[in-house]
Amino acid sequence: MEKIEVPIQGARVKIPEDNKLKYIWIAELEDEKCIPQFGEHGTETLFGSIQPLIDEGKVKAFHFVSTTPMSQHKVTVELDDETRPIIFRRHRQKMGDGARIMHAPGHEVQYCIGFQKTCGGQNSKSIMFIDEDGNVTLKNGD
Amino acid sequence: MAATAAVEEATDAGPAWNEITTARFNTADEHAPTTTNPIPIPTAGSNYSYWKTWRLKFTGSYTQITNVKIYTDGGGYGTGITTQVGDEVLTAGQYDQASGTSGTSGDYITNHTGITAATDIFTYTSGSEKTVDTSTISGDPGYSNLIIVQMGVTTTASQGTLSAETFTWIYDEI
Repeated sequence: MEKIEVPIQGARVKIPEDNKLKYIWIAELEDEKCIPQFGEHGTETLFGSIQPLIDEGKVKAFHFVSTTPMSQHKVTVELDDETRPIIFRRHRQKMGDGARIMHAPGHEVQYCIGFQKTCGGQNSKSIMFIDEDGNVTLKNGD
Repeated sequence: MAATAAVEEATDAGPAWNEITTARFNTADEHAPTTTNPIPIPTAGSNYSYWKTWRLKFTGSYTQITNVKIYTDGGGYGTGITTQVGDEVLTAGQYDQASGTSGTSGDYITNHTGITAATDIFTYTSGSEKTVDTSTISGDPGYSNLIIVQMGVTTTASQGTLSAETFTWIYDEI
């Protein structure tokens, strides 16, 4: 994949040449700073490493941003004191040759972003499922 | 960057874990069988394959894996053929080597330690999957629970190699 650099939400992002992800996440913090999945040198930040910031309520939004060079597609979830972010990739991998590789035949990936909220003692989740073509489906729960 | 998942099958007493991309049900304890040791059509009752023990192995850069499941297209292998998955999912420590009479029949799946009943795997379809692991998997490598799968052949089956069916695994990655 062609190496690209794009400024997103003030963050400098460099997509590694061997990247296979069609969307990457960017955490937008309360102090207007951002933490992208891939930093300006292409180094990856694992989602788990920013969990403390989430727990402290310092993340005000999450974005999924397309890694396709010409795409401006971005999906955003804004957070408040009562919501917690949900971000994951859902893989559907058939048993078969080559299906280990993301986006290869037999391996579909959905990029999932949303939030969890406890309302009236009830746990609720709203999640957007983004398919490989950028189509978005909003689901109540999982 | 992202986890890579490989399907592994266990054989032997150890066990020995080997990555597989396809599976063939036969009457021997082997992960990459040829067409030797097929499942004979019985004159009465059922013959079974040796049970197969599968798991997912996760490698690479990731935080955690959750919600490991498996499903089929709901089809099946046709008249006289059943394919069952053990109702219980097992930990690695519960591995039980496949047994039976090679070339004739494997022992029925409920002879596996920890398996008390089994369900037709083709009843598990997209949206109604078989849950494999509800825990949080981490580490490089990380492993899912085990599932036990077995094919049965009755008197109404037709002789010959069956058309392939596809099993699909699901997992959520952060």
